Amino acid sequence: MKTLRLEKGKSYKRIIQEAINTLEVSGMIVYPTETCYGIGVDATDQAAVDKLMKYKSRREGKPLSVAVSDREMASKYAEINDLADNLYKNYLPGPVTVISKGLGKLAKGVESEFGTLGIRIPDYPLILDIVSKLGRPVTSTSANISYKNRPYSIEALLKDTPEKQLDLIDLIIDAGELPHNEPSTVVDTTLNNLNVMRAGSLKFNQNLTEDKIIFAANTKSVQETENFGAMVMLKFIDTPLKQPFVLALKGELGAGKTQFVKGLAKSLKIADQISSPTYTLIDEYKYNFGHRKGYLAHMDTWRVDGVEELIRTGYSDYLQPGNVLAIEWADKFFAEIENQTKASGAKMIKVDFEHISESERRIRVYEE
Amino acid sequence: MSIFQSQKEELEFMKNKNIKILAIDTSCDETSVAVLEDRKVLANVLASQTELHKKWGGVVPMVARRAHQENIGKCYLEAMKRARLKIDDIDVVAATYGPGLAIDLEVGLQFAQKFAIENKKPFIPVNHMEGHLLSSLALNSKGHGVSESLDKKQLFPALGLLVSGKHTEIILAKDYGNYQKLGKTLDDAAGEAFDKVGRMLNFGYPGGPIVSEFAKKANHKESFELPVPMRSSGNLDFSFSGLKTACLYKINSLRESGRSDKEWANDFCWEFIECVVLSITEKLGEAINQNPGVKSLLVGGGVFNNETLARRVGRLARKHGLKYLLPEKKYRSDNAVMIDLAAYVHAAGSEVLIGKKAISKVDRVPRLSISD
Repeated sequence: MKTLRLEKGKSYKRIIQEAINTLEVSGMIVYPTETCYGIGVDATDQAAVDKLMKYKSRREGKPLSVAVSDREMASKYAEINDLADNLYKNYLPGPVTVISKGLGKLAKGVESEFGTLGIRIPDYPLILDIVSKLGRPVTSTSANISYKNRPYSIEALLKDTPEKQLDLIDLIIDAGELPHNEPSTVVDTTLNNLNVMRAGSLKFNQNLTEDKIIFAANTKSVQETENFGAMVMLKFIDTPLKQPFVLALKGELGAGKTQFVKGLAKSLKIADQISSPTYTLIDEYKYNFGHRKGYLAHMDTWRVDGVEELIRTGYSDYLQPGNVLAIEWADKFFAEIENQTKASGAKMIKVDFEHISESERRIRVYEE
Repeated sequence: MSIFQSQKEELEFMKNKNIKILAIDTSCDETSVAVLEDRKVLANVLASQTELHKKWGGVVPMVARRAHQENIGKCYLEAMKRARLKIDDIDVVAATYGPGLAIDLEVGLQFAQKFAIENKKPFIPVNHMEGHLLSSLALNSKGHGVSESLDKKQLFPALGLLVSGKHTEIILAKDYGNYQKLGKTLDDAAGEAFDKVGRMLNFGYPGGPIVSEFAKKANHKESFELPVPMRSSGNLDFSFSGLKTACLYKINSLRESGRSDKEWANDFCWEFIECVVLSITEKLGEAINQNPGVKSLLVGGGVFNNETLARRVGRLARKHGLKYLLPEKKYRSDNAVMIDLAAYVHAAGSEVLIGKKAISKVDRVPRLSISD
């Protein structure tokens, strides 16, 4: 085991070269990062990764993460989805580990048993230069063996690690005591999705240009938005008597869609509290006054992934005379919703919400 | 109606217990089947965590998780296998009948009703929210858990605090099954605000857990003047839609000023969470003051996976001398173990239905409230 001290200026190039030489022959290096000391081997080299596993001991299938030099290198080893792309753009280099679906191109044991891969771009020039020059990812797990503290100095590491394991280390790059920063934030991008809405939205907007505006308002408070909703419902109060009545709502987060639906409920004399249906997908409220009765079905497609899932919500069951179906984010799946609506003989209006300022909204109601 | 001929029989039953309840929940995104012996968890199966979904590599798309009809039979078989039980061993069957999406509720409810009728078992319909409220009562297979006592005198009257993607509620519980809603959200739930702010930060969906992760790295260099909701409302209701909109405008203006997300995101996430936590703890504090005499605080819901919320609510409970019943992590988000627990506390009461006629009468109630 060899130790090199990282000091300002003079030895930087030589240290990088020594590190590369070590990694090229399945060697193992300890190196500083912005979080703590990491332990690195060439992540494409099976013999080197096996050696690292032996060093860490008792990993019980826990995957390793790797350091890459940039997004381009990352994309050679993992599928970078939109969410991951956002993290690379906005947060890296930095203390964030991005988990993506691996492409199976690294040594066994680096990816998780599910084939996911943790990647980071450390905010520390030395390791970036090493990785970039090597041209392949280097493991970036912390240098402590299992169940020991994260090492912020080489002294602490040496003290905590048994001789037998220290013997496996080929090169230590000592940058002295590192700031005691927390480990990187791990973001699993395979668990998330960025909803795709473009296709549906286009269709919706195209539709609007062919429709006529029947009501419009600039509301200056949530109360005014609610009142506007109540007014719109009153204008169409007889519609549900003959056919299902569908309101396709479009507007960004916080644009007032749910507030508007509260107004619909008011005119249908529904006393229940209307809250956001984002999680339940559809909330149904019974109304019954005079000779009018049916359901107000309040739906939200924000969380819905695709048309198949939309259909599974059973929303088309509400397309019966008597019922009012208000759909938030209707633009996401407009083609499907329009087809179902037409097939059921329902009356549809479209409501477009726009932000003007924090409290002001422009709301326009369209009819074919 | 009690299932027992006499009070004596009922008392005998409660003493000997060791009743095994099979419970099913399909109210939202997860198909879940559990088997408990009294409060001891013998099996807890979530569709997204079983072999069914191995093909997704541990990551199950929402459409597959919500495919309750396809999942339920397999989850049931898996639960019975893990519990090492046969149909004959099951004493009671329970299922969620609300709140939730109608079409989803039907799957679990009908499966349980059919099972109960065909196998001549008593059936208990359960309110999903009561399940959340009682989720801390679970015990592991060795009989240990958050609350080792079920003694009503030690627990009640209690306050309940449920914080999830759909609900943000404060409840006064005088007894098992005797609940009064003191406060609720008027628009978005706290968990929904987490996910929507996560979406604004381009964390995808569900972004809430990532917001929590980023907040841990805050260095408190910057304040964004986000509002604490409903401070002067004079009641115990919540509202998170205004905070959501304030976040949207703040994020837009930060980006327009040319600053990268990296510079401010950690502090922003922290401040957002602080506003949510303050809103919840302030209302809870008022509820405790308005109800002197309460002995414990029962909490539940997936947002308690945020450590700051769990810790700060716990601190408030202890300050007022309340026993703080925080469920284990795995029982905070939706699961059938909690449905089992809610069924268990009613297993000797009038909620128990016997016979085809009574059981098949139960229908799903999508907007069921805990105080119904």
